[in-house]
Amino acid sequence: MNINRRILIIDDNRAIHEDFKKILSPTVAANDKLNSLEGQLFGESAEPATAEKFEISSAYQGRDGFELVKEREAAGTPFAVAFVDVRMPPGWDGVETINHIWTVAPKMQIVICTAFSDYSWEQIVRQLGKSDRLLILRKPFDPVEVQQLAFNLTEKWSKLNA
Amino acid sequence: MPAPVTADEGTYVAFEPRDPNAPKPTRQTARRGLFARAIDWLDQGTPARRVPALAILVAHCVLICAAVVCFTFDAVTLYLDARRSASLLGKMVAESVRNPLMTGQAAAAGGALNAFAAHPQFQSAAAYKHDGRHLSRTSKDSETLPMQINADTAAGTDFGLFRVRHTEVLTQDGGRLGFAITEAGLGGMYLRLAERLVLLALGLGAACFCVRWLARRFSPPVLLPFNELGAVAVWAKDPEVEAGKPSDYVDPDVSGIAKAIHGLRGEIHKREEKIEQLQLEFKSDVEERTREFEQQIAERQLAEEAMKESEQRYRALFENNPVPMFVMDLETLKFVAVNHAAVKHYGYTQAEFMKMTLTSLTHGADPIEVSRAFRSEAKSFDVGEWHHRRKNNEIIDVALTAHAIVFAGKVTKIVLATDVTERNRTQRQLQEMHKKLMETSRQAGMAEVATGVLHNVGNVLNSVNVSASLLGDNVRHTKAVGVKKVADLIAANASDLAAFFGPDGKGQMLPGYLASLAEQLAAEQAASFSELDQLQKNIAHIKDIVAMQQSHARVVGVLEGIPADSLIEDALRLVDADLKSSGVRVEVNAEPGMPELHTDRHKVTQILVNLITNARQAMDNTDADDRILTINISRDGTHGYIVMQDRGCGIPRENLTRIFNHGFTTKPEGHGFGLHGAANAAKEVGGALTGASDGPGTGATFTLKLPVASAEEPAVSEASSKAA
Repeated sequence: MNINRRILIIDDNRAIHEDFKKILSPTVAANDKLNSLEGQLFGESAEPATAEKFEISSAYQGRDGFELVKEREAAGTPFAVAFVDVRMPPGWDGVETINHIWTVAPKMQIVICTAFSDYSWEQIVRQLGKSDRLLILRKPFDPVEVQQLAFNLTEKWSKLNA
Repeated sequence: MPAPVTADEGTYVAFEPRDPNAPKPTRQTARRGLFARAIDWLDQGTPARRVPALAILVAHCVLICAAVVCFTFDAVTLYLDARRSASLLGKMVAESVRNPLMTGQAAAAGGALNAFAAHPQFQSAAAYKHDGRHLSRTSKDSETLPMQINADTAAGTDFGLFRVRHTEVLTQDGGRLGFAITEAGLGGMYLRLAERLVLLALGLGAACFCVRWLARRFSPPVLLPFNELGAVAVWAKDPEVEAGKPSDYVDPDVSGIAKAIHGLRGEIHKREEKIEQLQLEFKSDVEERTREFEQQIAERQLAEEAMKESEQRYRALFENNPVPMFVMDLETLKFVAVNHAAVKHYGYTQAEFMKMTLTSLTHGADPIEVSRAFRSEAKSFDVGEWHHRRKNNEIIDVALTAHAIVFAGKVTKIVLATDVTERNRTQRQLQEMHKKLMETSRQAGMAEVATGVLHNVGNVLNSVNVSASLLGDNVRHTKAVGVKKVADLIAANASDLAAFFGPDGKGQMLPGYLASLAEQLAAEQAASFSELDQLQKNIAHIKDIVAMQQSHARVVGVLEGIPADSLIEDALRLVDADLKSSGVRVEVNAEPGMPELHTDRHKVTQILVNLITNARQAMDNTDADDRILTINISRDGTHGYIVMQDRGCGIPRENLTRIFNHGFTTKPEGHGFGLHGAANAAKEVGGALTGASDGPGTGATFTLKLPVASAEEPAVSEASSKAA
């Protein structure tokens, strides 16, 4: 199955974008040559490459993110997952952005990120409706948690759209 | 002349005089004369009786007048005839004596004169010579003519009562011949006149008789009904009388009338019955109405009693109400009535109150303001809180409520004065305690950690976390273990190193491997360094945030009514030294009547300090004369606006959306969370922070929108409760 690994990050904080990129598309690549030499020298099989690469796009405001989603939907390269921050002054906040996104991309899986509870879960449900497309990720987050979310949700999207 | 009604007066007397006390006309009164009688008539007679009588009277008068006219005409005619014939006789006599006079023969003259003696009118005649001596004279009876006349006697006719003397002068050839005088008698004329008179009298008598006869012939039928009606009336009045026999009672001539009257009588009876019935109905109607009216009166009395009772109740309610109350004239604000509670509470007597106005009772308020407060169309309304002065000069706080009432015919206001002095005191104490509580919580600094730190530190901590876990991964998966593996490999082959490093030995691969490993380790080290560097930076960032939060220690979430200018004053005071050293002047323009803002003093102060500091820094490169920061305060309905305009370096278009982003900064020493924090704080207090600039070098404008105070009581904001 062809898995859509396109992920959109919407956050007003550039450092967060960097964090996501570090987690989801690591730059330090495994040295293949070294690995094969190690195999010959020490007689060990090389570790299988587990790091799956994601295609990360960034938006620094809710409206920009929404525009990007629309653009990609039209181009036929839709995003599977979006990580959306709750607080993004001065424009739309996360909940407002998600509302807009779902009007154009209703199947998009969304992880809402929050440093502290600007909204309680109840409030979010009240505003966005009960949904299996939404998860909450609390900051500061665990990189593994982010990786798991990215893997699972991209696969979920791909299965739903297969 | 007989009066028309005299003879049969008795017959014509009215059967029912109009006025029974009026004197009845009698024969004696009839003798008093026609005029008086006529007056009597006109006075007493009914029109029906008066008309025929007057007709008779008029007829008599006409007859008499006609007789008089006829007689006068006759008399005049007779007289003129006599005169003419006398004159003619004179002339004839004169002619007959002409010749004798010429000849002077007296005998001839006498003969000529005697010839006239046969003339019926002739009385005497004489002929005179021209000198007046008589020639001859003759007479029927005695001699009446003189022997000698005056020679100058003129011709003419001289009339007497019984005789006419005619003198004729005879002339011949212009000379006087003589005179002839003839006397003619008027006896014949008188005789004929008498004859005529007798005839006329007879005629008049006959005419009068005719009139009388006619009057008698026609008057009775006209007058009869008046007589008979009496009888008819008597008959008609008698209920015993049978219908159809009026002739038994009245003249047959008027029985027709009587029958008609009888019919009328029946009709009248019917009408009477109807009237009687109507009267009965009317009577019962009146009785019913009277009963209704009495009932109404009774009800009204009851209502009046009830009203009086309710009035008394209300009066009692007013008088004995524990709340001080005044009834006040709206025009003059004078007291018209006050209750016992007012007297007791204020200490003034009723009489003293009556001399006072609300204005004199009110302390520390303009009289115009007081009267304006009561100028409302509403029937009842709150007048607000005022300070009143008691008689002992104590000032009390009162809340006034006014209701429009009509008192003694005038529109007045009844004013309830509730003493709120104690309540206000308690409220002030409560506010005091609230403030103390806020101070305490600020010192504890709990709330601040919850909001600012969690958000700002949370973001940085995220990066720290990621860096740390990446570093961990690096260390976990480091190829540095390869060095140990090489060492182990060499140690294992220590016995035969030559073969190991020999042309077929594995050792041949080691230099290449070590080179690759070195490369890898260097890359790993660089990545780790980079990550560590970032980690350090982030940790420093966290330290800065904490330090800044501590320096701006504040109470979170207390919303209170604060005047916008006081907020700006606070902020300016905090950065005063900075502004002075940078040479920045600040102009504050506030709209008059700006209400209080409903907001968190510390949050807004932080925002304002941030904005002012930004503006100050932005103007570092501006000309010293142009370093002006303009602050405008305005409002629209539910929001107030604080607009800060600097003349600094401005903001490039592409940065306008990013200036509020966390971590975005253009300052070499900046952290990029000043505006971010300010925008978040503005949102937390229900406002908004926006920025605008036309580009580099044009300055920037920041607008802080904040809600206007609607309720005075302080409230804990929702944001802080969420934050907790």
